[in-house]
Amino acid sequence: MTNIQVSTKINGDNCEFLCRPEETLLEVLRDRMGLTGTKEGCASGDCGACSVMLDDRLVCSCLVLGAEAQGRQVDTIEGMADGGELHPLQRNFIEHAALQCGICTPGFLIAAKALLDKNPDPTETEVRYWLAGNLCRCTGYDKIVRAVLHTAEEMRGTELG
Amino acid sequence: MVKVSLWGGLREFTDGNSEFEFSAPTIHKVFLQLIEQYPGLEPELENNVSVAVDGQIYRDSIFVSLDEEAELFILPKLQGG
Amino acid sequence: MAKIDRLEKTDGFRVVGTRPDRPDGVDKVTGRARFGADTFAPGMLIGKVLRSPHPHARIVSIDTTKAMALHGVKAIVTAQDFGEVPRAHKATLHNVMAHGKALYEGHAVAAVAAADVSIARKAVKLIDVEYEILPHVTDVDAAMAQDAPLLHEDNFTSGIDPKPEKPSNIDSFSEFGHGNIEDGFAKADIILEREFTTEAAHQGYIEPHACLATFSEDGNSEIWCTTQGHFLVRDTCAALLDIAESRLRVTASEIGGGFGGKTVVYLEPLALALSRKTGRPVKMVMSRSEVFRATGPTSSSSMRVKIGVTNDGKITAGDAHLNYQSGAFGGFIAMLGAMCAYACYSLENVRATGDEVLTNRPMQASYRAPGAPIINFAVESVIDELAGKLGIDPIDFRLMNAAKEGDRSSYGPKYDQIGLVKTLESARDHPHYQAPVAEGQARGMAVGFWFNFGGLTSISLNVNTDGTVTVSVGRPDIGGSRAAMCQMAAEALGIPYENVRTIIADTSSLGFNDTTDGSRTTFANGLAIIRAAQGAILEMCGRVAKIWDIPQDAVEWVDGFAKPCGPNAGDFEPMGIAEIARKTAQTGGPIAGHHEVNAEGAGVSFSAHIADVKVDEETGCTQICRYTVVQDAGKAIHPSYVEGQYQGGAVQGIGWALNEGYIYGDDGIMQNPGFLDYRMPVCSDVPMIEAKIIEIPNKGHPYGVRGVGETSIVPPLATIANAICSATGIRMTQIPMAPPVLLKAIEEHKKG
Repeated sequence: MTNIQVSTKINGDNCEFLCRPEETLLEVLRDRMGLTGTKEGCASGDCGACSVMLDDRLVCSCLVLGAEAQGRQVDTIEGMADGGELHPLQRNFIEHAALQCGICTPGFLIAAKALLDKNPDPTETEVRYWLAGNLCRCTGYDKIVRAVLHTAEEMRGTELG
Repeated sequence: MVKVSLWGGLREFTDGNSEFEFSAPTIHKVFLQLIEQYPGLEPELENNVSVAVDGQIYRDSIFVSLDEEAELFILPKLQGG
Repeated sequence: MAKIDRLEKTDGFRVVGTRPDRPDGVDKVTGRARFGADTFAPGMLIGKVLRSPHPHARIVSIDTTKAMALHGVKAIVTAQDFGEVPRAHKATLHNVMAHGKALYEGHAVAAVAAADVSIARKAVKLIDVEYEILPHVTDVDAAMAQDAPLLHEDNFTSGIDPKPEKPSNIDSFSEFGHGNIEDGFAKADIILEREFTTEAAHQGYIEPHACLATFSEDGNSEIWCTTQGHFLVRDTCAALLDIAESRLRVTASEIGGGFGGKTVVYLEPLALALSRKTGRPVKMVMSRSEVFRATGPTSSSSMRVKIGVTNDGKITAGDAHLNYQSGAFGGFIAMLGAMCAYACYSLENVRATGDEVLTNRPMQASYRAPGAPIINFAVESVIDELAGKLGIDPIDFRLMNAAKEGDRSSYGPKYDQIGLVKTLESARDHPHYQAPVAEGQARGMAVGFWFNFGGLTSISLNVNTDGTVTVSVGRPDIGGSRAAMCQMAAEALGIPYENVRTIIADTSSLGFNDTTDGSRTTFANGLAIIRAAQGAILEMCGRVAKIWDIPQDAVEWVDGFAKPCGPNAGDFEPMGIAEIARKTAQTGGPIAGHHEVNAEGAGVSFSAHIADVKVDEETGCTQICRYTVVQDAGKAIHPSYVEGQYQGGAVQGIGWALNEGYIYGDDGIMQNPGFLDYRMPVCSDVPMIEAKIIEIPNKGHPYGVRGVGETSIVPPLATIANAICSATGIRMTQIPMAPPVLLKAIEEHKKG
């Protein structure tokens, strides 16, 4: 089968790749681009470990075809920190012990950032429902929710101050 | 004398007996005396048991020193998750 | 000998008990950390497994001709590629690759290595397997029936005397207890007998099994894999492929959850066999469906519990029988369940018996306190019902009968120092239990027990020339344990946390280490690290004694500094670790400590849980409104990660209680092998989980540590069942208490 040529932007950088028509964006990111920070937990859109931003939309990259990235912008966990400085969510996940094994962490961070970009002042319930598409088996979610709420508060403070 | 009790699963090797008394300075010496009486116990004691000495569970160690009045309980080898 | 400042201590900690950032945190929030599937090798092939579509079938023939003819297919392995193995490894081998019969749907029948994943997938479909379909059984009670289809014609139940003459699906029988049950029941005023069933739950780690194996022409092999124990992977693979342990080096990747499910090998021997056949590295990754159908889960069960009590609240006898379904190869889970059944209680007359039952389901794997939550659901439900009948507060009733130091445990030995009473008292006094139950809600509680383990441990601790320290441990860090390791090393040496780095060394770098399971890592590694630090300190004091030209016993170690002490010492400025380290070349070479031990004395633990729930009587849906865990940690090295263990275990238990379960049709095929239909708790299903750490030091550890990883999953099933009973008046005897199940019970209850 003929490969498809795709031009896209990943984490701000222009790039091109060839992929099979049936290849998912997740497979492209991991196996062709070496961006293994995006994880496969189920390949059926149920666990959120493969969450990335496609333009301004939070998606499961296992449910998007690689070819669909044509002309669009993909943002993954590898692009979240600003140079040497962690995003406040990344820092707060560490400080709040919001990860145990860490496999779901990239997906949670991408999803949480998407939330805070849209809603800088979410309630606990809003955080819980927004993150309901991401499975974590280790933490029981307590410290994840606390880390997100704390980050929201901190970022609001930064913007105001 | 050291008091030794076996868990139920070992009774098939000991003609149904599960309470013993031995003079023994270590778990190892207790095992040797048990095996002398009941040779069928040997593979079980070698691979499949842990020993509680006065409540403290030793999963594998057999050269633990025993007090003269120690109470031993031989139980199945434990495994966690 | 130099003097060391307070190596064993239960207070006055400097680093232990604080909450520093974990050393691997940045790697894990940036996507840099490499998990099982995150590695590649030049010339790598992709392996895929052909799995049986039938729950029970004789494999008549396997024809690989068409598959091998597909361009890009490099090798196929089947049972024929494995030789005879020692008896202890037979079940593992036959689970990794079906030999003669496929014993469950999803059982591996063949494995392919191909140039890429799409070729490998196509090749799997081109393998022709002729099956003779056999009758199957997946239900535990059905499997025990006289006329049930037999999984293994040579299985004669062990543990009963005389040995049975006929084979059956009962793998083994076990029995625990003491006193006389009948006498005990004769003294009771109230006797309750109830039957319970539970369905199998999967460990549900988010990272599927993955490995990369390289077999080299010179006989030296390497495996990279996600596992709870890379030494176990090495020894098992070496045995299955008949290679020397020294020739196989296994490196543990970062591990994306395990909970007991990654304490066995599945893909690793297949990848290594394929690599041996092709001379190329072979990478294998399971799909989620494969994870559900071919790995884990824990047992399903049917149980009978009978407890007698006097009118003033004294339990006179406890009896239980457990039938645990352990999949196609048996196990030890019913035995562990039977041991844990009545471990919370001080009983004169107690008996717990267990049957380990074979069925056409995947081989059960340990799941967090294996066996304990299942029987705990049954026993703690009856205890709760008795407390209700007696009109005694459920915690007070448990306190009246709680096991204490010196009591004979239900599983045999006498207890030494245990913290059950304090745990229950702390739960009773907790603000949650003291608060009135909110309108429309109901409360339940339960208490649970687990053993905790130590085990074989080998670590090394190297003082670098700048005075920083590197600790090498041999157990994968599954939940932040590296932070605790660094803390204990820093505490023992008297240096800052930031100056210690802990790495997980491969199997060629250390002696054998038992797997990260049994809640052992912080206990056993920690014990060894503290001892290794002691060795390094003694060496450093010796070097300083040389420099100062005074006797070694005139040097003491205080807060990270060597100081002169005693009448012969003289007057010297204290010398810190950095200065000592700088002079290692002049004073005798590198400074290191190491420790090898079979760490015994792990210390059992207890956990008490309280739940407030709301039951929607129109949908049968149970909402958890408030949840509290009270548990003894001995000493919490990093309290955040101890809390995390409590919270995570509780939510896994909540999922098992309310939704999770394997669903089989009459065809013996698992109907819900995905996260959509096997529904684990999501963020919006649960509230914050309050975690109360109690610290009753374990005298088997220099700092008093007890394992904390497993006990927290034991009480939730009963806790929630008891809360549902308070809410609805219905005593649920079936797990999961999923909405359709509870709704049916509510409707029947209303009909009367």
